[in-house]
Amino acid sequence: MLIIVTILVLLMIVSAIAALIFKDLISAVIAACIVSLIAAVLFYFLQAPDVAMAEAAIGAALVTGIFVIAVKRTKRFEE
Amino acid sequence: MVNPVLLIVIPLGLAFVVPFFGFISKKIEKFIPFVALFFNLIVSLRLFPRVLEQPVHVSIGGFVPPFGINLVAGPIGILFTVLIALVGFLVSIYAFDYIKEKDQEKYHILYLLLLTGATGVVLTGDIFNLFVFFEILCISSYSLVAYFGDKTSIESAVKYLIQGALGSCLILMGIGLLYGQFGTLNMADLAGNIKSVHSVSIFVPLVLFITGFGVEAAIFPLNAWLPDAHSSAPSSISAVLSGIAIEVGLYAMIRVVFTLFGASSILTFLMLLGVITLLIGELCAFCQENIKRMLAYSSIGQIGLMLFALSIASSYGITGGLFQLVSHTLGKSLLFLAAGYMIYRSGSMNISSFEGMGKRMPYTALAFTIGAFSIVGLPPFIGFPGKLMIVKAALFEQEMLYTVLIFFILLATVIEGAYYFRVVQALYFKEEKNTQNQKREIAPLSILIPIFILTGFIVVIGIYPKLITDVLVSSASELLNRADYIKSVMP
Amino acid sequence: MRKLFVILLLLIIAGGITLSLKEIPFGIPKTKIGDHFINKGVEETGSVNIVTSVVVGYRGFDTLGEITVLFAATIGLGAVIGTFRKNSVNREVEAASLIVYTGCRFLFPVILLVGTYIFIHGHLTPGGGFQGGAIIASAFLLMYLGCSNKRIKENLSKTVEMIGGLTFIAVGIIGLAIGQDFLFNFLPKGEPAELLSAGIIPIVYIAIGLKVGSELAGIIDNLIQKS
Repeated sequence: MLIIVTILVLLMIVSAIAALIFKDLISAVIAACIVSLIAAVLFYFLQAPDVAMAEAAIGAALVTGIFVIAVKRTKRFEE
Repeated sequence: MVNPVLLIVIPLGLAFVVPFFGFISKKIEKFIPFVALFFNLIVSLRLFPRVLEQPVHVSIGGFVPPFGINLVAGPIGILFTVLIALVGFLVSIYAFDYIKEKDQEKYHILYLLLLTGATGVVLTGDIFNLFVFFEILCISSYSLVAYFGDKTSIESAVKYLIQGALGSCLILMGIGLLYGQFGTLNMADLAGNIKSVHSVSIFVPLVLFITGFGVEAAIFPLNAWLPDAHSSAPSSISAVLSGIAIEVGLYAMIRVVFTLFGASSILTFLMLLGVITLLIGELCAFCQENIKRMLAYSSIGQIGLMLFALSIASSYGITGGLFQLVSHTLGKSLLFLAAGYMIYRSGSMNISSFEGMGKRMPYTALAFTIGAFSIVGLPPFIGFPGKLMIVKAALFEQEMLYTVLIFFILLATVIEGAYYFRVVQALYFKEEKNTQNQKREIAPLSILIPIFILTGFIVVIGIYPKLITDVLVSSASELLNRADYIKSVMP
Repeated sequence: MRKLFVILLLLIIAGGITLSLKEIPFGIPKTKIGDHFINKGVEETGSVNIVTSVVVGYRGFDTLGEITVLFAATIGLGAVIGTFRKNSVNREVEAASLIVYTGCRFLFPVILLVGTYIFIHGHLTPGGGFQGGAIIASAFLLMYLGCSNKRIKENLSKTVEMIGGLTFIAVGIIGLAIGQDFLFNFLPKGEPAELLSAGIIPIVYIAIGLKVGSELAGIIDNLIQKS
């Protein structure tokens, strides 16, 4: 149990750092979406299903959609 | 007796219904803020005499505090509510003719939500509820600053948004830390449990709150957003932001410092911060060419003066600070409304383009002059008793530090006089360069009415300050008597 | 130089919060109001889901404030985006293939049904108005991505939003009109764990679900229309 939580937290940290480092903005947005998804799973492990549902629906689906529309309007690659 | 909850709920309900009136006819949308704020004004004036004897406590949902939310309508809450309703009502009359193009329905919805948020902040007795209404106020003001849609407006709004959102995050962290330690969210209950500020676990939330609310109240290091935001917004919104939003931020900070924490050791720091803010505001305003930026920096200066007065923490000092707050709300709104119309007529925001307007627009220019004299603090107007009370309160304490700070305050007042007189000189004593439009134009009625009413208040209260000092003295005693507040909510 | 200063400031804030968090133990039996909510939540408000009894029952006024915040954000976004010109370069948008198009049209009512189920059963199972509304909005996002020629009628979404908001406030004012407090639970509480129980909570959650769903769908609609 603890091992699964540790692996998930490490994956979250790696993915958050990757969101800062990537130059292709679409890949950075996907990395941010992975952070939200893992947060939703961790909320479920901490026995808060309401918060997990809200985080999955809003953080992983809608916020990613809004970011992709924003990247489409500006430029895709960051120098 | 009308339930004080209606002061928040009726404007909120009317804000939800504005699109429905838009389906019927586009022309009646602009009367809805007028109706809602008129209702607020009448109800809060009727509650006034009752509140001065004993604060009205209302619980929501039928649950007693601390398990439910409660509203505390005390003297300072109802004073702020009357101010918000009065200024909001007058500016909504101004907006009948001032907001003509673009999508008007969204302007009126956001305007009503801003004032609802402000009323909610001053009436609530629960710290998380204060945060929620504070967020309503902030988010409506971010969108209203960007209302015109040109490049400078959007850049100012984005700057304001980022700094405001960071401030809100800090406030939320502070609320979380307090809830984790004490297990309750009611302000009176928390105040009963907080014994001293000196342990780290109470000091960190205090600092987080002061920083977070200080972003909205525009205290020294945190006020970088204010000149851009207040100068790029439409003039009616600048009047409401300078007159209501930053004062409500200052109220939230003072409520947390005095009632929630009872922190008297941090007051010296706040006093120094207030004087630094005052000096920076006045010095920067002196160098401005754009009139709205000049008025925005002057707002920063006045907030610094109010913070200084409120941190003297004697009854006389807080009364002086609150009097200065009332005078700044009335005076700065008048200045922005008059300046807005003058900018619309002359087409540019530079002070040099206002030359000779004393002849072209006599009533508006006279109103601007009265507002300017009132902010500087000249005798027959409302600014004079306020500043006099602050100086007397500081000298009464007889400490060396206060005397030095009073010297800086008087220096700042002299600088303030200099730049306001420069504008008045341009209005009346310079000749107009562009001699094409020499005819005398009187402003339309919906712009003159709010200007006249505000001028009337400034003159009348300036001549008889006793009209409002009783209210202010009971507000000051409510802020200082922490034990009475706690006992009245949680027996 | 500036980066060094920022990192130093962040470390001070993090250090302060950590020092303060050390005083708060994790997972001890809840103090004061948490205790009261867990023990007496079901019998005082009638809903089996304790999170719902806190969100709509004990702290319903905060929930009203939260949906107002969302409303202000949506209207603000509409006001600012409305001033942009539509991009005059007409980019060729390639229509999606037949499988994607048909799949999206098939999935749309199913996702709407899941969202509606979540907010109607908010007082029985985990979930509630916000979660259900967000799922409904993601159904609309799917329609925009898959079938690019269908749009929401703006008047319809404004009307749904208005009905949702007015229902919440009307329910509260009825509580005030019968002599009790605002948002008083005036309908009978019934048996716990039945669908028609918990007084006004299902009505409030349906209003919140409709309002939040139409607001978030309105945000997506505004953004896609102008880009």
